[in-house]
Amino acid sequence: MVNQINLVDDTFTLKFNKKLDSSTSYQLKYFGFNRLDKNTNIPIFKALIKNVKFVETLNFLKKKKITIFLCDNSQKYLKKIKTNEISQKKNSDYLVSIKEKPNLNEYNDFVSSINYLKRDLQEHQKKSLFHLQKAVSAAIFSVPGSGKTSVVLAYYEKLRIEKKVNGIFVIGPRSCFGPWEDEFLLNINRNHNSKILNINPTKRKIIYDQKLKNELFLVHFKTIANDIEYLKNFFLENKLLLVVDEAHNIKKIDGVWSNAVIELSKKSIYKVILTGTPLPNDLRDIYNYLDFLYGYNSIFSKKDRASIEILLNNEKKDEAINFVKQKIHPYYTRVTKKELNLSKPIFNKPKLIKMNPIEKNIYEAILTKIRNYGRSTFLNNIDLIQRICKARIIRLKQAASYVRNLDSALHDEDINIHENLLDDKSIRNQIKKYDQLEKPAKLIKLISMVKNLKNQNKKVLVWSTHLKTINLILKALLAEGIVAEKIVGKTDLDKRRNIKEEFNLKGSSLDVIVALPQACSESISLHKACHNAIYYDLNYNAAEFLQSLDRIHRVGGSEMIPVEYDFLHYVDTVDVKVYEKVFKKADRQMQIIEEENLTFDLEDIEENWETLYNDLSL
Amino acid sequence: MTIITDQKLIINENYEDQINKHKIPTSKKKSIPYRDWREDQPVFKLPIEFCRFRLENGRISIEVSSHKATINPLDPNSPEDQKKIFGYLQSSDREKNKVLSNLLKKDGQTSPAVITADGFLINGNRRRMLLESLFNETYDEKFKFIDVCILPGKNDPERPTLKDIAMLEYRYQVQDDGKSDYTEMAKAITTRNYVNAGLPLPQMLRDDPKYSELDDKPFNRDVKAFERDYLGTLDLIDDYLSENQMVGNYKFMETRWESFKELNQKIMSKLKNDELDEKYLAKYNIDEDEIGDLRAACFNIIKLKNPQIINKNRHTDLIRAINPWLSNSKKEFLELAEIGDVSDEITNPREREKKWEETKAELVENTVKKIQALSNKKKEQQGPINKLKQILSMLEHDYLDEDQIKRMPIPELDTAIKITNSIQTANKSLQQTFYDLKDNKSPHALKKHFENK
Repeated sequence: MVNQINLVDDTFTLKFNKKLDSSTSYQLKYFGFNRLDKNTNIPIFKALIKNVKFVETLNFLKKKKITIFLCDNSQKYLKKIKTNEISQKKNSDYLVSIKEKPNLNEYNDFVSSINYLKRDLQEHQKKSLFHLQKAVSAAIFSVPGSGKTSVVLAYYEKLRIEKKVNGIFVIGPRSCFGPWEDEFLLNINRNHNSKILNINPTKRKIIYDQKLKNELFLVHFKTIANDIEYLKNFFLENKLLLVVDEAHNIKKIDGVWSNAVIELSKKSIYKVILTGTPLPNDLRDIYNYLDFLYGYNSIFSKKDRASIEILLNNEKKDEAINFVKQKIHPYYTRVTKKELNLSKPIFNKPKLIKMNPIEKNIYEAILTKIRNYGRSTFLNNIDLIQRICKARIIRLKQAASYVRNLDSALHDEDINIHENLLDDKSIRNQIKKYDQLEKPAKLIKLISMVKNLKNQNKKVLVWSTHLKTINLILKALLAEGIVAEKIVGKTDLDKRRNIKEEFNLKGSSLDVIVALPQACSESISLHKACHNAIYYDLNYNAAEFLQSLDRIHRVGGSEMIPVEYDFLHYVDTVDVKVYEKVFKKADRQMQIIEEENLTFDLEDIEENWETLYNDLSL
Repeated sequence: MTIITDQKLIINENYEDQINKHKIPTSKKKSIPYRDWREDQPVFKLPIEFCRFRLENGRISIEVSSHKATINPLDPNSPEDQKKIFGYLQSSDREKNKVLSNLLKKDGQTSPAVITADGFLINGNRRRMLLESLFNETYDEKFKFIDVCILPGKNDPERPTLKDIAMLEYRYQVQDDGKSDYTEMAKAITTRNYVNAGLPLPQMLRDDPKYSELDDKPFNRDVKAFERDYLGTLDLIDDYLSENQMVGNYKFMETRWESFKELNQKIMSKLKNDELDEKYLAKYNIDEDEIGDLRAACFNIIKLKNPQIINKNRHTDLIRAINPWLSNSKKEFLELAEIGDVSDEITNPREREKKWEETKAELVENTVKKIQALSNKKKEQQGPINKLKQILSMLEHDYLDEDQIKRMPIPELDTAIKITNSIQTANKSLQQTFYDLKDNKSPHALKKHFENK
């Protein structure tokens, strides 16, 4: 009798003609086969087809030099598995060819078929759309300001005409809602008929239950997590193109938002991931995007993930990066800044300003305290190092922006437990009464710069990372008769849109926007009429800094007119070091962004408050 | 195996009548953890011959199972088999038996046993055995009787179901209430018997004060850990016994429990088809089709008797060395799988063991020595960063056994605190050296560091 494997209905029977060693028996058990009679010398195993690792079993037996005869059904089953593997491979090869070397006839036919849009797409957008259509679901990782939204709207319109979908469902931060509505109008020749699902839960549920009345749905990540069960039904009832904008918000593995969004993705055939900064920190950030697009573990299997983890643990980053690159290459398109042919931005040398006496006094007092505490005081308590370094940097940054930012520290007991940088009474009084005592030197310089630009009919975008500073600047500008608005986290969508529209209108009265990068560095275009930005202060977040630069440097305005960036620094303060650090990081990231392929900035993971603190060389 | 359901316990009416006839009321009362009873129950005096041992008793579960495997299944209704159980109890923990026997002699029976209405002992097997032994030794009439609480009988509406009995037995025998006087292996066998009979593990553990107050998340984590450390280890031992023609003969493997537990925790539980730990495979560069060989190689390590061959004190240290061996010399380690077992024609466990010692042990030992030497060599070649990482991983979780830590007595905890303080001091000194070297404050910083040691 020869060794044989038979498949009848859904059950495999594996028969051997002689006794097997325990290692082989166990391996077969591992592959899903159960041994029937353990005492016989002619072992027989059985297994349900769904439980068996069939190809692996055959490879294992081959490795063990055990020849096995496959019945017709088994052979057919094996052929089916191999055909599936080949078709998957073909599909990914095809997508690579779409990106790298598309068939010209096919591409030209595709281009000539784009006759349903109000506004023409640029060449790089057409390429992205071509890839997206062929892939059905895919990611677009093009840099901010490259027109990703237009590509998705073109894809949507095509799907709608073909009756494959009857609506587009966009998940993103609130700041992206307005731009989606605007872009809809600009790209597709009809009213967007949108619904922003920021209404109360009862009203939302009514929308999910009723017949589709809107075409464009705009939803925050949090709402998806809250409404997931209703939304799953909503997607069953309606054919919707599912889009995640600023998708880096769902990069957290096993996060509440990401889990809900991935869960919802199972209910849609057509899906798009959008982000210009796909991997801000970690290689593993990519997993959720691909799980969203193609299902859990379909592109990165558990084994792949484990291998990446081990490579990273063993400090084999390059190998890990290459592995990830190779895996994801077929599934995204990306346009770099260089390819957009925008004007070259001008980074003016930072303006160095001497502090006014009282702010200098306060800054110096904090610095002296820090120097007196030294490193040895906290070296004995390793756990506190990170917290104290962070607290020290924050205090210095606050003082160098506007000393009233230190108000919060006057009551911050948590930090005071470890060291009190502001325990001097006279300093505390100076902080409290600062506004009556003097104007910060930086503010005076800023006002003069803005006035100068206004005289040249130029609008300005002013950035600060501190809320109190933003209010100070706004008040000072208004006092000088300069029309200004602020955009911070609390600015609601309508207000934000009105500010944006007025600011983008050439000749409008709104001259200045004062903005907080955390609230305004994503999904907002301010480039139509403004080509100047002034950074009053910076934080260490290079990704956010890069995003903020792109607000006035984008497709559709920045091709011909150069943009200018100015930076205000107090002499011999933390300003200078933060600037150097952020520029260094941003420079590296910009180089990365400019590269043809995606690469990753893994270095940032290792940076902590202690190294940032040491970098200040106090 | 009795399947535990809500079915009522079968009670032998004849025995019940006999007990009712011979039980003598006392003034004593005692609470018993039966259902949600709160009131104390009456205690009776009963001639010891009316109390019979139950096979399910955890303390003798290893012996009962091994008896079944090597001779035949025991019958609780047979007087001869009752004598055999008596013998197993007598030899189960002689030291403890002696202490309890002295206490019985001195103070008499302070805590009543608990029996079913027809006389099967749920709790108090050892007391019952010792009273009989003392009577045989002294012929003192007071040892002829045992104090008992009797569970509801046939016509009582509170008559126990099979599940009630299982829960009561579990509460008495397995819960960690200070009577941890039987082995983890016995605890595993007893628990698995209950689980196989239909009493879900989470239900049993929820009833245990050690777990009853836990929130769902830590509770589920502990259930998983219990499954792995007790039931999983026992399954692994079953596999081993089965492959070595010794199904159910737990007695033979009793001294290897910790090694199997270690093997299951650190290796085999990560290699299950349905819960494969891909990270483990990737870390040690193991292919899926090497799992059978890996297991066979590990089983050969289990068979080794002398950990001293690689300068280890305990057998578990041999198991603990497997993962580092896999890191450093996987190929050589898997060669151990090729060293097959002795012929199936030898069925007697002792003879099989002897034959293995004669024909295979040396080969396994030599291979292990070779692997250890390769491993040592690789370690020597490692740089300081790798060594620091290794130290860190030892401090985190790879090396320390969570379960062992949980069971540490207070004096050991004090020692542990002292050691951790020393680790902290040593680490600070080392860290300072690195800072100094980085700042170039002292060109001799490293020299100074080692001179200070």
